[in-house]
Amino acid sequence: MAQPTPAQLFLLEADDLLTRVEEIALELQEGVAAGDRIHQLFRAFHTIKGSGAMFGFDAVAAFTHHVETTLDHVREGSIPVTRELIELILQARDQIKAMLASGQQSSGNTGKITAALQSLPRPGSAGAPAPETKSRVWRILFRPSLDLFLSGSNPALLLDELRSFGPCTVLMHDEDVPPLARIQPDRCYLWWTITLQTERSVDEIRDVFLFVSDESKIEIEPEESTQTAPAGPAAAEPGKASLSESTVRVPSDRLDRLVNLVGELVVNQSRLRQAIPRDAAAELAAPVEEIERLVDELRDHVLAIRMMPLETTFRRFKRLVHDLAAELGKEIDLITEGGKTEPDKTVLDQLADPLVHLVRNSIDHGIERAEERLARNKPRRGTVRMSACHTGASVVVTIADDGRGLDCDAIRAKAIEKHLIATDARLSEKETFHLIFQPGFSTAREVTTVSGRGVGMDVVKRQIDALRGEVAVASRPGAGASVSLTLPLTLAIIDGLLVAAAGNRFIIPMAAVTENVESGAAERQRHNSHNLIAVRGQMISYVRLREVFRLPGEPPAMEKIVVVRIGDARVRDRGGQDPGQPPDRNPTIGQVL
Amino acid sequence: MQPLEITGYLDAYAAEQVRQTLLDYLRAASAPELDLAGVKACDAVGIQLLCAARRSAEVDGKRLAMRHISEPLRTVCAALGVTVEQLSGGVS
Repeated sequence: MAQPTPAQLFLLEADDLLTRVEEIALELQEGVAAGDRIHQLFRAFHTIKGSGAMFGFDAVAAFTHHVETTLDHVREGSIPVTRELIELILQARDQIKAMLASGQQSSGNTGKITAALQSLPRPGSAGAPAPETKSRVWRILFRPSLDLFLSGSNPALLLDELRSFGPCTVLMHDEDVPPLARIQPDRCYLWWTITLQTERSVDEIRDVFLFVSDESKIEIEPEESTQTAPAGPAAAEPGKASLSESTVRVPSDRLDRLVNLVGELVVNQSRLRQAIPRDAAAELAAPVEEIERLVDELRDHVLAIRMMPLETTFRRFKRLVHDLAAELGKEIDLITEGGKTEPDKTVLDQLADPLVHLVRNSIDHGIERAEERLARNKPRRGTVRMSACHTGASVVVTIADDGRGLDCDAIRAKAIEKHLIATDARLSEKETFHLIFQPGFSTAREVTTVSGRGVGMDVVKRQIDALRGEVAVASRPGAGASVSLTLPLTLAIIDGLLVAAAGNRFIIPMAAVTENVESGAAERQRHNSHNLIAVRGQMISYVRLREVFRLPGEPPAMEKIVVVRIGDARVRDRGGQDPGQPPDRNPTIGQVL
Repeated sequence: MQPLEITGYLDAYAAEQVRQTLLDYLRAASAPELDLAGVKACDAVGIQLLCAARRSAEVDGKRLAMRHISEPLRTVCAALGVTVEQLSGGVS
């Protein structure tokens, strides 16, 4: 529960930056125009270097310096953006991540990567005109945010750094400083105009303001209007400050504690409501009702804090697909949809591994090689599609590919070979597909480094089961396969329907309940005492809690039936009384009766 | 009334205390004058506070004189791009 140390905060920030580096590198790999992306990469490595050195990660800072230097040449135009460069950036990113994770113990490939970065070809140096290094005069407006001092920034140091670039005139403006009676001394009301003559590029000047640029207004313009250099990147970035979202980092164990406390509160509020007699005086009933409303609202808000968009998880798969496709010599595009869908963080955390298995399987077993695809009149590049959407209290994540689809005969043959089914077993297509989730099942002819060790799909099934989710498989031969995972939005607090039979109480998750009906003695006789009831023209069977749990006593004349839906099936529980719908925390009804 | 002597640190940590002292002094003084010979260290927050003091005096129709500006104070003024004359209201 302790506050994170500055070094821990740096690690979090570095992790975010490295994730961004990976995204940008993959975008460049896909052929997206470099544009501002090289600058973004440079800034990310620059920040890791600067902050890393500040918090004692000297080896990381030293290595990052080489990457930064290379990127500086790239943005000057002396090194072109090539596939080789992007691969090296990805390797450098992985190396820094490994160094940070191991407390800088893992210096492994730094020498190799640095050497490769330094030997990148520079067409500019072989006769092409060198980038202009003529000294120019720049007019700089630096209007810091009011919070400049609070963030620990010292404007004098920034201005000194600018002076080191060349002849510089700095003018401080104090027009906005209020009188003593109104001033807040820790706010910054001062601003500056600077005239700087330098050979440095506009990006180098901008980098001086790197750590204050998010909240400050910074304009850098060439003094003469007849300058030939493009003023694009030098232009002010209006509205940039407003784009930065106001966020607070909170350790997840604090949130977990908060959710647990709210869970306790919800349960106790429910007990309180149960304890209040139905005919209680308004003085008592009204505040209890109000507390119920507030607790419900509090619960929704607290749970919403832990809801995380799936797009962060999806993004990680770009790299996985990129690396696996390269490893297997396949050409594959990853399409993600519904990234804004937000399950609970607990669900999200446990979803990553199953998704990795599924995506690996799609790439390894599903998508064919380019030549095979062309021979089958399919596009050269295969597609893996990751999509997510909400359905009621669940989120459905689907991994679909346009590969060869599941081979029913091969699955069946393998299952017989592994003695999972009898040789004469008659299985529907759906049942056959589900054999792939059996432990030890694998139809891959050769074991690859990617998948096919027969430990993937059964683990996926177990993990999804543990999350109280469901797995569904669909496939069309030659056209592709898809696996859908249906998961609860949250595992923390689930609304339950409380039913009672013979004085025992049972809770059924509300998300599964579709309706409640009643059944009298006359109806029971009509069905010859078979456990059947007609609901909206459909005959459905039911079980009696009283019988399943061998509870004593006779059922009441008018029995209550709860209709629940689990997956595709409808099941009925028959309780005696219906004491209401209190929310229940982590209810366990075990297997469906 | 005697000039107000500001000594020691004129920085973010001392800012609120110095602000109160300056406010009390400026209310009482008809020809306010600061003696800054004893300022050992100063930062942008301190310089900004002196600007605010000058502004307060102007609002009250007074002129705040700043005398014996210490070397550390001059250094910070130079770093921030403000002359001693500007700071004391000679040029605005």
